[in-house]
Amino acid sequence: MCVYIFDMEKISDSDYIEKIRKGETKCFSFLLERYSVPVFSLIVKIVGSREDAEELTQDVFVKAFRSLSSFRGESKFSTWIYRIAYNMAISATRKKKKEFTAIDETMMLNVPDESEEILSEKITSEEQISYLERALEQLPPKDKGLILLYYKESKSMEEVAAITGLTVTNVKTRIFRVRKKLQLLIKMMEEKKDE
Amino acid sequence: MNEDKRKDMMYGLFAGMSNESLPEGFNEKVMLKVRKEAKQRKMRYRYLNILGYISGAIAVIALCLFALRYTGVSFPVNEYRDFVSFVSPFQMDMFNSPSFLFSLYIGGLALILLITDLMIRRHMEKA
Repeated sequence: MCVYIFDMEKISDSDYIEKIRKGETKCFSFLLERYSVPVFSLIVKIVGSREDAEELTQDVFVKAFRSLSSFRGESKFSTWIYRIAYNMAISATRKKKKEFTAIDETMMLNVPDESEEILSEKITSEEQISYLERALEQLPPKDKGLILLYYKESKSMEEVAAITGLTVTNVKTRIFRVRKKLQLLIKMMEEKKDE
Repeated sequence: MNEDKRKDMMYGLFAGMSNESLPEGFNEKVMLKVRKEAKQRKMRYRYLNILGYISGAIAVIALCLFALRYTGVSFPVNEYRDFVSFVSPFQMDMFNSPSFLFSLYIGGLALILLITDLMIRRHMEKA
């Protein structure tokens, strides 16, 4: 029998998975409770539409339930569910082709490596977040997914690599480049505002 | 690249971004789909079981017919006619009769089938 919600924190994902595998379908609601918000948020940001994201997130969890028998516990359940979500979101965006802001490589060379230097103190943190959200919208889905997993979902480089199927070195390089791209986009928005 | 995310200003900005709120009744909708999926899986498993039994039965009947045709074991038609003599355990000549051979054959097959069934069940439970 599955435990009540106040005991939820004490029980690990693998305990729930074991119970679900034994036929206690009800226990899946606890995993859903844990991961639906971050998974939905990630998908919304990658696909850019709440309606599409709702459908996709439902599919992610149904697929996770269906494939639970193939989950061998070699990685964390969170990594596994994010992998399903990331792959499904990227496939969905492939169907809906969208134009993204192309950034000149030479412009990126002028961006400092350390992000502390990029944001001016003239703008408030709310404005900074709003710039960041707008800048994110201009990134290709894969880049968006990478940077969100690393910064927003606080995943390590190794976890991001496991989720995206890239090598750790590749993830490091790409996050470095995406961060520079974001900094440049934010800077351009600031300059536009100043004009 | 700054490896320590906590010292990274980007990290602060991302942390400031709020999570998207779930659409109303989202978890309930997913659970409905999950329950439906679980039910379908149960049904699939049941149908597969039935299909397995039917295929097994057909295979056994085919095997019996094949064996009766080629191994020399014959169906004891004459002895079945005399029912009393067939069921009596005290008739020693019964062990040399075709009916004994036939019963041994059927019993052996049943044992093989039971063991196979047990092995398949154990394998499926493990999977």
